Amino acid sequence: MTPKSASLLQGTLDLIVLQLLRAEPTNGYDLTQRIQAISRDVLNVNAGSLYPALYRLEARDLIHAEWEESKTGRRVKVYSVTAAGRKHLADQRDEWARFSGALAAILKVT
Amino acid sequence: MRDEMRAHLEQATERFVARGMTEADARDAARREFGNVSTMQQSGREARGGQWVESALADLKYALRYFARTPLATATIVLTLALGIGFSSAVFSVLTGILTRPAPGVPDDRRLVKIRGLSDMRPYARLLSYPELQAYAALTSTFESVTAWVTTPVVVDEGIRDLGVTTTTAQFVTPNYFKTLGVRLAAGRTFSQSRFDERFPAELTAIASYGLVVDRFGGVQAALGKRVKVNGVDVTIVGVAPPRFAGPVQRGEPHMIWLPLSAWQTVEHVDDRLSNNMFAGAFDAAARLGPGVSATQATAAVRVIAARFDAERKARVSQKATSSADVVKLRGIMDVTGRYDEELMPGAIAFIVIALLVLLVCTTTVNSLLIGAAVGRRYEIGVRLTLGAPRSRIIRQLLTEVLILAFIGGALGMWTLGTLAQLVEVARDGFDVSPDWRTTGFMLVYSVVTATLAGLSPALHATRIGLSEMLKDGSAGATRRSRLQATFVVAQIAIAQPLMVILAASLASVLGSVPDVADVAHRERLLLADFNTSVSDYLKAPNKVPNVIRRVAALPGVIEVLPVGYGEGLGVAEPGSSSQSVGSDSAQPHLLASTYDIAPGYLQAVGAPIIHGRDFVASDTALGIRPVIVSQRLADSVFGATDPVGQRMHYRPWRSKAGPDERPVVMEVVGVVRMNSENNAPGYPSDYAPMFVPFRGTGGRFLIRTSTPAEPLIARVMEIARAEAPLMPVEFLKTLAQSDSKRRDDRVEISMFVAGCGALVLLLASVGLYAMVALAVGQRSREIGVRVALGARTREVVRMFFKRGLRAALLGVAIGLPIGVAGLVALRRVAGMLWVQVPIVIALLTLVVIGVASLASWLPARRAATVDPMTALRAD
Repeated sequence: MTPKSASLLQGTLDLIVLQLLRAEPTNGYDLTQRIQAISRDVLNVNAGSLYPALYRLEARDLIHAEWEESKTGRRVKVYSVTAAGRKHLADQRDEWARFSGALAAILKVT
Repeated sequence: MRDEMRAHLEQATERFVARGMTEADARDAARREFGNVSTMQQSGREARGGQWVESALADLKYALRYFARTPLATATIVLTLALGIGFSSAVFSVLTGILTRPAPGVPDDRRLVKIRGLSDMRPYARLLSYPELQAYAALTSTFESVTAWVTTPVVVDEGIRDLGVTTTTAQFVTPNYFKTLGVRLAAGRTFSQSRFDERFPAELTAIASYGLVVDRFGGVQAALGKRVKVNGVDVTIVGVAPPRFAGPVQRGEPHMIWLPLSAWQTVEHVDDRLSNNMFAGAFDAAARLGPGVSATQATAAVRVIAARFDAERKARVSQKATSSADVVKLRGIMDVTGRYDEELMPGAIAFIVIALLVLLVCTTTVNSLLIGAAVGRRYEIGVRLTLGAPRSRIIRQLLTEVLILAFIGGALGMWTLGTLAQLVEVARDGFDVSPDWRTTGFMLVYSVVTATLAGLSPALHATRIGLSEMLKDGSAGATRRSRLQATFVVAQIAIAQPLMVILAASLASVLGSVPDVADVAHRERLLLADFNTSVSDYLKAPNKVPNVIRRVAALPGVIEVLPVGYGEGLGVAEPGSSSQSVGSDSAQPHLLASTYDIAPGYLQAVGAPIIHGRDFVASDTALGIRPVIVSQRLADSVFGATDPVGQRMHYRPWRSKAGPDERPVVMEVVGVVRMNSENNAPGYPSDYAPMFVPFRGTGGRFLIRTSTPAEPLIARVMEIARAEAPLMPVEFLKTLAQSDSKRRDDRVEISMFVAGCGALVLLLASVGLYAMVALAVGQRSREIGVRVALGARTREVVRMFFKRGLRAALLGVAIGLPIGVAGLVALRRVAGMLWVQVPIVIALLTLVVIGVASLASWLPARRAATVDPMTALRAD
């Protein structure tokens, strides 16, 4: 992961996790792979950052976890977004849109 | 979490295998990609917020490992804490037991209350009349039930010639007594009558106390159904009270017997008119509050009734005292004759102060020990800090260690307390002072407080260390800490002084009060009898006392029978030369005095020599100005150097709580008597000086002087009193030696307690001193090595450290000495010490403290002599 991407990621990991889990509930490992794939290797989240984030969100009741059997027959812990999580995600998205819009306006200034 | 991470690693391994790696390489790659599992687990736990449990367990394991490495230091700290916490818990337990708990055998029920009759004149408590009781019992909305009892001695005869008769305390109780109090009998049944006011016909059954059936009736089963004579009346034992129960108010008597009130008339030959007489106060009362009723509400209700009765009494008879009543929680300590709240408070406060002092000393000793230990662990702590452990974590670790020790020490102390309490209870058959949930809770809170106070400062000091300081000898920091230690030790020795003084005063008091053999023999031959003539007076029955006295005087072994008054009470004595009436803040010498009316020959009989002037003679009662014989103490205080004999004295009796009467009674001093420390006239506190006036009344109190020990005569006197005057209860019948020994026992107990405190504090201070010197030796071992290598003799090295410890001890003695001297001067009179004894006691005390402190300094200083210079220098 490049240093520039790392500093951006810290503030937005929760947002990323909620968005992706909302799209499709999944386990921790698949989540790391999906982040990497969707961001085309720009964002590379390791287990040391992801799992604490997952546990934090779970403690705040924004996501819910259940053990299930995967397609390959392995027992995995699958995370999904709760109703409170969906609301929080909507708020965070609006926040992010305002922030990125403001940033874009500033960066246009010559 | 572990399973989840394992699943993650397996998935990652699969991916690497799919890329063409071998199984082993794929697993390694997956682990490398994953990162440190334990660190991640830790982060995960912190994110979840549950890591405190894990770290608390880690602290616990670390602490136990540390204790195992340093068993001696750990044991010292635990024992010190056990002493301090256990002792304080003991004080707390005893105080709550005595002050708040009900008497043994009575359940601790919030709804059980005592209805107290009150008066605004001494003794401030009054017994209730039966009509008044009935009025209280009629308050059915306030009280669920009311019970009452009369307490009086009776003669119990089992009909076994060899055993003889026994004088036992009986309570004639309303039939609902046991039910109201919630007391469950150990065996048998309660009375057949059950209602409060059932008084007819006479039910001649009795319930005996557990002690009585075991000691006299051959055991519980043998007692049930047994027929005995109580005051000559046949009575059947139908029940046995639970062990240690002796009534709702603590009496400390193992033998008691309860009979229904309906039997009172028959057994005590009391006329039933007594029951209707509002002036005849004979009853104590207790009650069970109605649901939802508070003691305050009940007090308001009884006050109204008490006021009504007071008004009715005053309408018929001129009466100065105003009577009232209140309702308070039933506690075992309450007695008929006193307001125990006020009387016990000074003692309770003294105990609390001592307990706090012990806590302070204990905490500073442990603090001192912990400082020493922390200095010894500076490498360990420094390394942990350097490796990144937050300071707060280490402080928490150190505090956890102290807390664990405090709990262990507290539990050990409580266990000791529990064992001691059982011994005390068994020995005294008295209050329940064993630890209960309250004491345990107190001990836990106390342990936490002690641990924090003791452990926080060393923990903060210990973690303030930097890497460079740790790598060096750290001597600068060590000096700072050892100065703190020294300050603690000085403070402890200073505190030990006043406690030791009290110890010395108590011991002096006990030793002084132990009478020599001749004195005991003398007082064994003096029997004090108190016949209650007030009941017969109310019923206008003929006075049978002269008959009783005549027959008692004729008994073999009786030399004479002397009447003794009940005392004129308390008052203020002043010299009679004052021309104006003086207030209590006057500059005139005056003294609080207690007055006793006695017959001629009384003082000689009790062995109090008249050292100046004369004894009373029969014609004194006819004199215009009342003659008085004063105690030497009163003479010294009021008249100073002037010869008191022939002088006038003003005496102002203390009639009401507002103070002494304005108008004095004029008296003339005819004699001066020297009283010994036992205060031959029992009944009033010893800080009042006794004085004697001629006996004028026809009361019922007598001193019977015998040629042989008087105790065997007690039963005979009772029989005569029963035969001649069945209407006359015998309130008191004991030899003076028996009264003395009871008083002495109480004093011995208190003295032993205080002696224990003083010794305890000195012990703790010595431990702290030992630790201080030992630490200094340990820290400066390199310096010792250098000195010895340069030619210093080991004796000189030892002396160096010994002087250090002694310096701290002497400083503590110097600070504590003025307090100790002041304390001893204040306690001198109470302890019965002479002025000349004071400096001797102070000197002895100082020597003891210095001696113990010297030993505590010398023992660790000796270790300096064992330091091998080569080892010490090499350990740089």
